[in-house]
Amino acid sequence: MNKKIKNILISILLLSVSSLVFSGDVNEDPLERKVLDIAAKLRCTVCQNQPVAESNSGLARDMRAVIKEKLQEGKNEQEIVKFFVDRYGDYVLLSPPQSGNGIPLWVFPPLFLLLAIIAVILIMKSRSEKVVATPPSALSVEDQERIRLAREAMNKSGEDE
Amino acid sequence: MMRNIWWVIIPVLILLFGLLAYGLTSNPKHIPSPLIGKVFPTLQGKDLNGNDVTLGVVDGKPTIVNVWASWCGACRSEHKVLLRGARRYGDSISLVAINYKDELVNARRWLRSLGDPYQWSFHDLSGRAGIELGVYGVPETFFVNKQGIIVEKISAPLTDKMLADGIALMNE
Amino acid sequence: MQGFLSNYLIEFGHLATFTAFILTLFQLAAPWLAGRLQAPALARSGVMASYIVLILMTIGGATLIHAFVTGDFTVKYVASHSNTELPLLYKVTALWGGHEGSLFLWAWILAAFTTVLAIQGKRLFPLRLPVMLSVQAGLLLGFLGLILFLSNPFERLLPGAVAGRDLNPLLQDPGMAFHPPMLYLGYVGFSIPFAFAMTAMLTRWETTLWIGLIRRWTLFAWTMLTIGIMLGGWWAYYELGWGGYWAWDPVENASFMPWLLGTALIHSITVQENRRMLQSWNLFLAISTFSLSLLGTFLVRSGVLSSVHAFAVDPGRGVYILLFMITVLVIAFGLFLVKGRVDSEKEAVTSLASRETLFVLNNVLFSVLCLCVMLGTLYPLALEAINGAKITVGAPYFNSVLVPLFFLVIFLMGIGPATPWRQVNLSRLWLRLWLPTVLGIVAAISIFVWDAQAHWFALVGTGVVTFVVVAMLVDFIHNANRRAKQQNENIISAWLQLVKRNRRYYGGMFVHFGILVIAMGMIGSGLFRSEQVVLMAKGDVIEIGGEKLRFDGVKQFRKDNYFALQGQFALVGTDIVLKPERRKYPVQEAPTTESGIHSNWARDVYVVIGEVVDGRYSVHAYVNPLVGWIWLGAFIIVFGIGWSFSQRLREKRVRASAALSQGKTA
Repeated sequence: MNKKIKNILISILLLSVSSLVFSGDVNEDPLERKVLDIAAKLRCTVCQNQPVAESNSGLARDMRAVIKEKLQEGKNEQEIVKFFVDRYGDYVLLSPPQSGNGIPLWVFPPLFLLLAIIAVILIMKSRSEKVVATPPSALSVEDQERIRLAREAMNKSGEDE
Repeated sequence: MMRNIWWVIIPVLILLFGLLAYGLTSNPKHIPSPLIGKVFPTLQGKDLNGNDVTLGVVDGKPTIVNVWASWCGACRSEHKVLLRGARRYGDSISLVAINYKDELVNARRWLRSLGDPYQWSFHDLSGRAGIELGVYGVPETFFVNKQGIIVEKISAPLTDKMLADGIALMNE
Repeated sequence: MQGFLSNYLIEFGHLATFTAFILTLFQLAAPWLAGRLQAPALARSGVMASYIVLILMTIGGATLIHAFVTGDFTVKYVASHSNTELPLLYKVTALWGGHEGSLFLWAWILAAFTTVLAIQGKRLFPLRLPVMLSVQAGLLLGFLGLILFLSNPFERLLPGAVAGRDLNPLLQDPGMAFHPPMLYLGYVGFSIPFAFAMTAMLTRWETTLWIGLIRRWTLFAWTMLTIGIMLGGWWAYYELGWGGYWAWDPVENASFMPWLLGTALIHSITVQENRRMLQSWNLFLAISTFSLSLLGTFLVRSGVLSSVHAFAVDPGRGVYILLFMITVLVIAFGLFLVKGRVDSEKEAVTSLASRETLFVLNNVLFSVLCLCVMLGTLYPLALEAINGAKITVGAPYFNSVLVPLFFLVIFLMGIGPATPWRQVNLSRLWLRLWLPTVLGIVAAISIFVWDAQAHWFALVGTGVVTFVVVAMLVDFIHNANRRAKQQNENIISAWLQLVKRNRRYYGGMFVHFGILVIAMGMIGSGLFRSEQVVLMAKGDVIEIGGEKLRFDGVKQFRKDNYFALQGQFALVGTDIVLKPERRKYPVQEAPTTESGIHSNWARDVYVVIGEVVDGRYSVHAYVNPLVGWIWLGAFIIVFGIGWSFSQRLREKRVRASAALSQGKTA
């Protein structure tokens, strides 16, 4: 009897110990984080418009493995990115290059804004001196009736805005 | 103002239509290789029989490097083209392969049953050689000239014509 | 007999659709024939035609849905997009799960819109209606032609398939089931302003006379598009398992471009209603917004751009859609160049410092935003056409170019309401804006103090949003005080009455507020996300973003048409369990992920379970701050639009009660 209880106690103790062993806090491997940070900047070339970091495709996995290897060899991010660009071209960069083929992408947006603002200022300036005049031209009976109804409705509802 | 707008709207529309029409003819999945014009890299590994091999050493002949796998459906139709090509151009060129991410057993069985056009196949189980060469989908084919420079890369199943054109480029 | 009928139901639907095609052809020609033959009755018949077309299209749609629900795998489209074991809901929504059915849905919605337009037009603009219906018919004709001749959902597959290839598992999801119809309601809804603009140019209809009529149509289309885009984001968030909701994928951009220009249109309509300005511009915007809807459809349906959504397509369809789009755009913009000129005498500007200038600036910004999205989306194609090089324009580009512009747009939201029409007194403006400015700067600085490493987007974004929220409050209190004084009410009832009586204005303010809430959600989740990828065994605990997550093993089971592996993750210290799944759909052999999410107002804990590596599961965990605000903001937007729409009901009630009281006194 006593022995039995003892056995049970021991097994409970063992169980709790084993669960203590297993339920440790785990942390992210910093190397893995570095791999993913670099992989986030590369496009998975077989999937569509998805970073290597997020893709489950075989190629993306291989590419992550290559990044890991290169990091372990002591290569830095720039070198690793260049490794892929040398083999897959600029296509592999999620952010387009800021030189060469990518220049128009960075030049046009501010240019659009500038041109649009200049055009608007010129147009508004040229119109600001003109006189307001509304000739009651070419209104069909149908339209006049609609205007009358709308006016009536507005007067009746008594809105303040 | 309206008169000036002609000069904006019409070119923009023409540009847009031209672009979209071009888009219909181009293949969005094709990626041009930056390796064209570069020296074929040297890769060491094993062939399908477990012998040490080195890919990229020029033996004075123009070389075609074909990337294939037994799990790749399109490779099957390409295979016939390669068999014909090997018979026809076998003396003047070398035809070697990279067997990409494939089990040895499957790869061997494939070559046994369909015929082996290659001088030997580089066994790239990990896909690492593929990445070295910017491979993104099989089948892909590299045409390397006598000097060891990649003159063309095709990322599609080869046809007889593509093969002939590629060989002409290698011999230039 | 019954067997005979049900056997040929799909042919019946096919025939109905074909008849609709013929009728549409007639509807297109009706007003021109009527002019030629001097037969006005012929012109009016277009109305009846649009009713019948809708009925015929509905018959066509119903037979397709019937085929899906009963699992008629002799219909090719059903065989390739459904399966006997598919749950009923997805059997119905599978109708738009593929290319042919999507196009059918597009055309069906277009027919429905045309009918509503016909009902409205009979009462309000009977003389212009035939031309307008003719424009709509032209559009419908294009789509029906495509459906009938190049991508026919009624096509038979003989002998029939036994079970069907099933719906793409990614689409077997409530968010994705309703994403396409919403998007199409938006796209197609923009055809109404387009038809108004075309009719105006064809019949010399003065813009000011109809601009009020398209306001609601535009708002409705815009709202549907917003909901559609939001559903897409929500779906991507919980289904694709990368913790994000928007990837600047080309197909997402395709739906975003009409949204941007539609937003510009809503604002420029307001300017014209109040100040009669921007008449030509409104014509241009109405045409362009719908053109972008067509472009969006083209980009998605032709497979020109590679994207996650890559659909299998045959080139014939791409060529057809392109030619159709070219026809529509050439006619529309050609007409605009010839007849779009509106007498500029009427468009006088009193002062540059005025609310109308801010509205114009809003339009400038939205147009530039739209142009930038278009640039980023089409540039890779252009580059390839020019020199064969291929580059990727991904999310980092769009974020860095567009986010600053969005900050400017939001900033305008704060100044706009404080600025009166015609001319602003700058010192009075400052009186209303100094407090928002100060608090905005304080907010930006506090973010910096809280996290000195924060991206400048976070500082500026929070600052600008705070500025606008405070400015809106100041504006509201200012108006309420004025009202309380004028009407001699207490302040609480002044607040309520203000919002109740000015539904259009405050509806708009609600929408703005919704946008601000979304902006905060994006700043929080985009810039302050914590992410970890770890290997976990049963019992392991990770700490992420202040939360502790314990892995309690996995369950495996079979449900509906898939097998699932479900991870159990406990939030330590609570009884909350997150259950991310990996599903396998045997028919399509495709795996999907379902993320486990626990949301509260402050953050989402988001877990995805991956594969087994060395006996442990690869787990991807995120804490996304404020992400729930994005969906909350969407609800606020929809509420705001509803509030604004209820203005007319209110007007009707007021008019009715006025009539009643007059009757009493008399």
